[in-house]
Amino acid sequence: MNKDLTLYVISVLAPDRRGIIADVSDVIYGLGGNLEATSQTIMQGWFTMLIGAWFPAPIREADVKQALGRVADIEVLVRRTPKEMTTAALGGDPYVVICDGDDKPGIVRGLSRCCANKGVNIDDVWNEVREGRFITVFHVTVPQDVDPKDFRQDLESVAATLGVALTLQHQDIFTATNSLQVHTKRR
Amino acid sequence: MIPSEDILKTVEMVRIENLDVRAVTLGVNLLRCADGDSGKMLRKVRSRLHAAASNLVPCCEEISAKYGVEIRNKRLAISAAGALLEPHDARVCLPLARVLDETADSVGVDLIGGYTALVQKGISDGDQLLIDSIPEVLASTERVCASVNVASTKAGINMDAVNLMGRQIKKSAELTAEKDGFGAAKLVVFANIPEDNPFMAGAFLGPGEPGTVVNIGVSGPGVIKSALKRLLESGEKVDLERIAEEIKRTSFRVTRVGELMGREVASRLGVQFGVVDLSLAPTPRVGDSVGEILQVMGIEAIGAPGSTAAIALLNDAVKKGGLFASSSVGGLSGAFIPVSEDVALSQAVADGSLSLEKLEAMTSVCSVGLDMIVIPGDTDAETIAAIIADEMAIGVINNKTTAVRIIPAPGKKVGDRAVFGGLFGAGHVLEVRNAGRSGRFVSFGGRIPAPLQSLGN
Repeated sequence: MNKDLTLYVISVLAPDRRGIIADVSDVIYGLGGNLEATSQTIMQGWFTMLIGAWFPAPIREADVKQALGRVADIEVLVRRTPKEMTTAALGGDPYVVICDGDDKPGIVRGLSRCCANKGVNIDDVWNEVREGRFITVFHVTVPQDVDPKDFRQDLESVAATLGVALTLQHQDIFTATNSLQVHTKRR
Repeated sequence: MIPSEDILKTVEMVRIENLDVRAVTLGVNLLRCADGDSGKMLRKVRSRLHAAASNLVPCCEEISAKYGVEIRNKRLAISAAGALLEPHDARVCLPLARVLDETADSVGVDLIGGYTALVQKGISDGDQLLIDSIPEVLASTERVCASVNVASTKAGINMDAVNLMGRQIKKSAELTAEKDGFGAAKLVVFANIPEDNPFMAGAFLGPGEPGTVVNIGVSGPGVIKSALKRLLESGEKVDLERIAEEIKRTSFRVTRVGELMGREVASRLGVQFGVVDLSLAPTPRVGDSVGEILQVMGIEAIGAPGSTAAIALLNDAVKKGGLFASSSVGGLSGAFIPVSEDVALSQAVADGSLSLEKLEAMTSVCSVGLDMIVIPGDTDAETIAAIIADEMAIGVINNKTTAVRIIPAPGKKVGDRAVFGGLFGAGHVLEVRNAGRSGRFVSFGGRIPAPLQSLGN
């Protein structure tokens, strides 16, 4: 990418409605921006979007925020992203933690704290309450120096305290049973 | 990132629908242990098996924990033991079987297959010794499984061997009368025996296979049944083509588990990966039954007209789905119908809806043959031989593997129950109609010539 361009990461929150992506991308296009990556989801009726986009050098954080602020009912956070901030790929093996049990506060907190204590990175989290049961799926990377057996023991002890069922399975089992690949593509 | 819904589906297959790897079987060639000195031969066998297999169970347990999928059975399959007996006499058979039994125990596997003779065209000295010793071996050991190949499409049916096996099955049951004839449950008579079959009791390592090799048996009748139930309850308009498609898709998932885990076991043990056997192998647990799949498909009483067509559809769809999921498929590959090991089939016998004749018809379109069927203890050896001959004919003419594993339970009559326990299950005694009326035919002996299908070149 041209050195006269600057990478901004933009976080957008707005009530979900038709046309919201078109409105946001109109603004970015109008500022001369070029999308690098986007990720969006809808949560409880709220539209959320993370955007990585390159802008010409004169454009500042405040300019992007001000321009996007003109889109109806939108809340925006913009951050300039220096090259050195891009996350280096973490070494390790991809595992999936699946937990389900009666819905109660503290499940994600307990599991995520357990991951943090072990130095296990959480790459993605998904939760849902179905018929009173709280289901959570953590995609994690278990570093080479962490024994998955120890990690599993720690998780199981947290799960026992919380009274929920838990499994830790290597991600390849899900890749193999749900895609044409047998093994997960390593980062 | 794999969608969470897909992850939860896989988790459900494992947690609720009994998805597992049914068998990891390490094949070990023992021909290098052949020796005219029986003591030396036995020592070599023990040492070779220990060296090859001591890490099998710990390795399977580690991989099982990694993927969260149980490897239910860890087993050994040796090259046909008849070859080791060639230079010896009858006194060596039992000591050899005991070495196999003890070694299997010490490395932690539940069964060891390969007490095997290949006699489709004729019986060598070693094979004769082996066959003669089978009843005593099966009665005196816990883990040893025996198999004898008496027919092939290329060679035809060796009726002398068939007659011999009729007698040996009966004797094997009699010597284990206190266990309802359990000895015969560890003995399989084959046509076209596969050389890479990971499933017991018929597993052995065939000629042309690597020195050591890992073969995998997948399973998953419960997974297929649940998938079909979901499909039928979905409100979608369903016909048999759609049912076949659903079985195919589910079989793909099931096979992938075997492919992934089997290759890793082989890689960690430093041996060649052989095949994934795409078989639907039931266990006596409710929800792990091939018969229950037929019931979901609309066969209310297994054995009713339509049963053969239903199992043919199932068998074919399993193969088609599995074939695409693995780069190396072999063994028996199909839907098994071992009666005592399958809760719904066993119940169908108890209810009187499933007969020996219907089972025979079903085996002509599925894997693997008349399997784990309890018959009256007073069935004569000639009738057992004739049952074997019929089943062998289906295999030979249709160029497929067929087998007979029947248990003439001593003292039991039609309607009585025989209990074997564990994976072998329990079953009601099935009627053998017209028993004692084919003795003249089988006693001609000799060979039923190879069919036209053998001249394919």
